[in-house]
Amino acid sequence: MKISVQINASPYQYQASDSAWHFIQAALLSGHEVFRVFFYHDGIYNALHDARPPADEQQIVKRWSELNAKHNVDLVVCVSSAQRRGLLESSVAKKVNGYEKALADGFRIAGLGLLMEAVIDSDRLVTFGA
Amino acid sequence: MSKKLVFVFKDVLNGTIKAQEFLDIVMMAAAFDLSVSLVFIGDGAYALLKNQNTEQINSKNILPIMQALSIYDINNIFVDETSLQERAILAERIIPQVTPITREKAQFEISSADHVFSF
Repeated sequence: MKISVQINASPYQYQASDSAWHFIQAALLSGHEVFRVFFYHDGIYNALHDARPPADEQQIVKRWSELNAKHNVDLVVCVSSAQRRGLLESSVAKKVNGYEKALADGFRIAGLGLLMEAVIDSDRLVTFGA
Repeated sequence: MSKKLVFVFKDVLNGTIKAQEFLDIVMMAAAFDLSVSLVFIGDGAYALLKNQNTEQINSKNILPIMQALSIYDINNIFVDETSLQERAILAERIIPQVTPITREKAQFEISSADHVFSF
């Protein structure tokens, strides 16, 4: 089955992105395809390059980057959600003299059209975080 | 075949950016020619009250967008009758673009969807 995931909540404060990550691991282990993870609303905080939690805690951002590197899962951050909250793509940041390295490895910033594509092309879209 | 998307609004929308961000998904879905329905249930029903003034809380009023959704060919906007009754909201106090339906019909609408977005 082809599965996409939407995450609407920030990491650490809510369990949503943690649950989503475990769900994706289980799906991959069961032989399903995970096509895309779409980060929306406060979910964009999963993509902050400079998140540095203490070493003995879950490395949530790093874990997403690894998921992309290992399994080639497309990690997409919604552009309007991200800009509203101060997370800019490097090319945009350059234009407005913003911080150019805000986005963690393996993520890309794009529009809601990619969420719709995930809806249309996937057998299931599973949402985490209200 | 075009997929059917149902958007369920179950919480109050004012006070956060939620409403705006989720209506963006609704309009994008319509732009992709997907079949779109909105179902307001529980406290979500408050979002449909006429004459809302959101200036005092410095937030954007989503009512004009709600009332203009037919431009995007979104005409299936439903509210659960029982939720209205439980909150003593009379049908004439909500915007006319919305159709009150029974809870059974609301459940049917949700279960007939290919994808459900719940806010």
